Amino acid sequence: MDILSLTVLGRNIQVQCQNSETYALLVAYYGHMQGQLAVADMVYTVGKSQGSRVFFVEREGQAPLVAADAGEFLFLFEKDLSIELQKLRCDLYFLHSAALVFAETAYLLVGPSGSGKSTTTWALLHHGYSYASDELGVVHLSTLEIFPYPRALCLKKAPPSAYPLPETALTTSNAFYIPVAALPARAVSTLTPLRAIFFIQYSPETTRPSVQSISRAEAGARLFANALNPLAHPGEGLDGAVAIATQCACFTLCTAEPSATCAVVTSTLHTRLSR
Amino acid sequence: MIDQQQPALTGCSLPQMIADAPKRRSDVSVREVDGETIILDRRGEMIHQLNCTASYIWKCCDGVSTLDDISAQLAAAFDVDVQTAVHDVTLLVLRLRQLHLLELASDR
Repeated sequence: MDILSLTVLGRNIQVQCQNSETYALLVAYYGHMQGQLAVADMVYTVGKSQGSRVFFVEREGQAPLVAADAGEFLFLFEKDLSIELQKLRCDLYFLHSAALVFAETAYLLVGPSGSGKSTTTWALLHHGYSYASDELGVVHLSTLEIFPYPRALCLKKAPPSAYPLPETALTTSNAFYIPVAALPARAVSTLTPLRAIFFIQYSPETTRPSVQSISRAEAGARLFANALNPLAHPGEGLDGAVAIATQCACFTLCTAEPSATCAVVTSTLHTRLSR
Repeated sequence: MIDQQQPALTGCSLPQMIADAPKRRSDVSVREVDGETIILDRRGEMIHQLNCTASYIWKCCDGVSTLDDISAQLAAAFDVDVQTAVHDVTLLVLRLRQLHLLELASDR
C-alpha cells in the first residue's frame, strides 16, 4: 500500500492507496500539494474492489463511494475532499472560482460549471499568470487573501488549438487533467492578496470578448450566488460576500476566442487597476 | 440566483394594488452597498440586487405608504415629474410582488 500525504489549506490529509493505479492518479491530480507525513486531520482509503474494475473512495468512518472508472474516481474523491475541507476550514470563504496571480496579486474568475473558468485559466497561464486554482477560490475573510488550491487543472473538453494539451495530460472518461508540473506557469504556494474579480460568462454567439465594471452590490450578490459554504459565515454568508466585493474591483467578463480574452483581461488589469 | 427573469403577474388587480400600501417582507436579509440593495430571500432561494432608485422605493414600502405616497416621495427625492415617478413605482412594486418580496395589505 502506498501512502500519499497532502497538505491542503493548512490541513493534513492522508490517503492510503491500496493499489498503484489509484496512487498514480492521485499523485497526478494532487502532486503539488504533497506534504510531510504528519498527524492527519482526515484519512482516506482508496483502491479497487478485489476482483473488479470498480474503484472505491472511503473516508474514515464513512461508507465507501464507488466509481466505475478513473474519471469518476477522481471526481468523487475531489467532491468529497472539497466538502470536508469546507468543514475543516469553516473560517474560510469558499467560492466556485478559479484563482490566478499576476504581479503578486490574486484575481478570481467566478462562475458556475461550464462558464469557461478552467479553459480561460489554461489560456491565461500561457500569458504570464501564475496558477492558484481552477475550481476553488478560497478567501481568508479577515485578510482578503487567497489560499492556493493547486490541484491538476481540469478541462471538460479539449482546449483550443492555440493552447494544446501537454503530452503528460491525463485523459479520462469525463475530463482532461493537466498536472501542475505540466503547466506553462508556476503554481502559487503562499497566501496572496485579492485585488479583482471577474464574473465569467460564456455564450457561443459572442464573437468578441468584453469586460464591464459592475457595482459592488451586484458583485456581492454574484459572489453569494457562487459561494459554496455561505451558511458557515455570519449573516448567512451575505456579509462575507459583501466584504469581498467592497474591497475588490469587480467586472463581468464575456469570453470569446481565448487569446483575445486573455488580452482583454490583461488590458483591464493594467489600465483600470493601475489608477 | 441573480434575478434576470420576468415572471408572470398573478393574483392582484392593478387598481387594488394601487390602493394598498406595499410592505417589505421582514424575513428577508437585506444589505445596503453604495446606495444599492442586496436582498437574500432564503424561502424563495433567490438573491436580488436593486439599483439606487429601486432601493429608494423598496425602503418606502413600509406598509403605510400607498403607491401615490411613494410616487410623490420619489418625485421629490429624485427631481422627476410625478407621472414618471408613478410609472416607475408601479412597475417596480409589480415586480417586487411578482418576486414575492412584498406583503400587501390584502395578504396581512
